[in-house]
Amino acid sequence: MDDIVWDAIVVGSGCSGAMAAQTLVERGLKVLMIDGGVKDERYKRIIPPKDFLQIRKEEQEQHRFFLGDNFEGVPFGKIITGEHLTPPRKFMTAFVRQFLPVVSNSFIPLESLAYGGLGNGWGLGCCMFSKNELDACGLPSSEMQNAYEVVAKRIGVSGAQDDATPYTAATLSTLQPSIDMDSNGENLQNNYLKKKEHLKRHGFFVGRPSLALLTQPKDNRLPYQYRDMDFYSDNDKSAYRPWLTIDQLKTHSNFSFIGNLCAVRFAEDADTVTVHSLTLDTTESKRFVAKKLVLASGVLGTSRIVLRSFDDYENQLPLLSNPYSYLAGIQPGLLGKDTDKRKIGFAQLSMFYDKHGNNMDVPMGSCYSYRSMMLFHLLKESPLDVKSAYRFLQYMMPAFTIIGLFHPEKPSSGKWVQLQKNYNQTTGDELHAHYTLNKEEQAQLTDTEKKFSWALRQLNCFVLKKIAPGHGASIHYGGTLPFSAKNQRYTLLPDGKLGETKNVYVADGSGFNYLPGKGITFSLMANAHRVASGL
Amino acid sequence: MKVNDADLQTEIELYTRYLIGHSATPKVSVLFLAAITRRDLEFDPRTIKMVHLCLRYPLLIGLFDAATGIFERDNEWRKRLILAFAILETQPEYLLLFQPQVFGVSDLIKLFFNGIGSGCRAFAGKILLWMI
Ligand SMILES: Cc1cc2nc3c(=O)[nH]c(=O)nc-3n(C[C@H](O)[C@H](O)[C@H](O)COP(=O)(O)OP(=O)(O)OC[C@H]3O[C@@H](n4cnc5c(N)ncnc54)[C@H](O)[C@@H]3O)c2cc1C
Repeated sequence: MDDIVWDAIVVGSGCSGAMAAQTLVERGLKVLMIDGGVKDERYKRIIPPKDFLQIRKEEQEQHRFFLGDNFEGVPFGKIITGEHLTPPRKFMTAFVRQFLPVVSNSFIPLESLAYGGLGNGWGLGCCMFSKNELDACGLPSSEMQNAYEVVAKRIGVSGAQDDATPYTAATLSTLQPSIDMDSNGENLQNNYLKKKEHLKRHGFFVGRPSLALLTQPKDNRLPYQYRDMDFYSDNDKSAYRPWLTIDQLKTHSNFSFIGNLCAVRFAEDADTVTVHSLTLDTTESKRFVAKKLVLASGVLGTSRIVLRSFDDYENQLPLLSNPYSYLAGIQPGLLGKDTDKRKIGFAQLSMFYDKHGNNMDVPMGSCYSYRSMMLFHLLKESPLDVKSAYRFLQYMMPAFTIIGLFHPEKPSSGKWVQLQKNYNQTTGDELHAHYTLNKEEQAQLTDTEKKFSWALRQLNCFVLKKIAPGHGASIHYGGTLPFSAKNQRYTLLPDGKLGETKNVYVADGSGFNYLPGKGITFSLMANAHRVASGL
Repeated sequence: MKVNDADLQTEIELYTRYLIGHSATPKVSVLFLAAITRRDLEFDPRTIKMVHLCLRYPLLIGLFDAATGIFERDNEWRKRLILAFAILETQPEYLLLFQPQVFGVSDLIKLFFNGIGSGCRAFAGKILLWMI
């Protein structure tokens, strides 16, 4: 394979890489994907295709996937990025410390070298950015509208038309019906329906999220089975995971995949690009040649490859990451009630706060109930003895509502990444990251949290605790190589081409100049398709 | 310093009785032994002292639990108790004990007095922890 000159090499099999590769393959190009390619070899096989409760009742070996073979699923200490991944999802971060080291005391990102990247665990929330948001990101809105439709057709999106429609992806022509809610979501929604005019006057809009989750069969995937094992397995394939696309692409003769690789740098000559990489298991060097290179290795991964390729250990690149916090709320009306049969691990309602009424700078709250996480996850957070906490939590559990709050994010001077040499690292360097919010940004966050707490109170949901898992925890990153009309280093041209290169393109979120508070991944995929279409 | 295997078995038996009022099954004991080693909870001398005290005076478990829950949430001994809890929660035979329950007024009253009791135990336990 070393001697082949590929039409295109795509680095990364995550949501961005999968969409870019599919477009290139459909266009008939001879494509090679190189990727970390790490898979879950341990737990996938032992999780039966059964309901959460049935598993809890019947499976003698359930401790293996709920707690992990090394009991790594029992959380101790502070909540930090990636801690919440269940044992069957922890493979997503294998090899990351060795090959993608980050040094920071202010920013803890989550990165992946997995087959399918972070998309193995994503929460499936799909939002289309508004025209204002797309402009701020540097994305051409007409191309993106078309790209959203293409991506939705590929991955399958469900949702509903309601007050949240302008903020979700519910206007898609191929939208499948929304999943059901459990009593927790229903209660919140009913309260919203009673007070919606009041809330809307204050800029709050609540509705069903659009999710990359099937409610009707598609290809060889089943509709959502309400098994509530969403945090542990993908047995019914109703949830879109990028590996579904890659598995499918592997059946095409013009597509090849090589895993177990970490791309380190690229070098260009007149009309080809050479990609140098290391194998994950033996750190052996491998090189591949193509006419075009498409980097889709995640925002931080791509910045490493680019800086290294320019031999730059000095410059700082800007960094964007949506500030994120959890609000742990309680709906008193549900306290002590037995949970109903329906169980849904995914977001059930989305709340948007459109302060200026222009669909710009809109923070989003995703509301989850707490059914399939087990009590032990909460114990360490409770300021009570384990024995009382356990009884207390049993009482509280049906009423628990967790709101994941995403704030919009703009560039500012306190946020950057820089590659520095360190010969003790396998790659000979490490990424230093710095992330601090200025006073104005901090005040904005506090204000938004207060506003959401107020809105939740209107819905009879009372916030008990605010949890700040630290910067980087949103797992939404961007902005390192911002889009620009000028052909200059460390920026992307509007078509995704890396400035001052001939044949290197970037198909992940590196170019986004702004990150809306809505989930960014659907837009990452649409952009990846857009970049690959124009290549 | 380490807790030997026989003591670990007694330890999990005591925690199981304390937490759910049952005896630990052999599987629970095996898992607890593995968990303590794999999560590296073996060597902290203060924790080992606490474990030995619990083995001799099982009533102290309640005091330590309350005190660490309120004053020392990252205490290593508390991690052992949480591990025991997590293991018990994944045993099918104990499922009903961990499911959300319908609560009546009497349960609420019980919970309330439990809370008060646990506050008192926490202060007694805090004094003990301070002495260890
Ligand atoms: C628990 C969780 C929930 C989430 N929920 C949501 C949500 O509801 N909505 C939303 O919008 N987003 C969500 N996200 C974020 C979402 O997962 C990411 O935005 C998205 O997956 C990023 O995709 P990507 O392809 O750009 O990057 P990644 O997923 O990081 O993929 C990068 C790929 O590149 C490969 N790679 C990296 N470096 C190299 C290298 N040097 N050489 C070779 N290969 C390399 C990796 O193997 C990987 O396949 C969530 C994330 C997590 C973890």
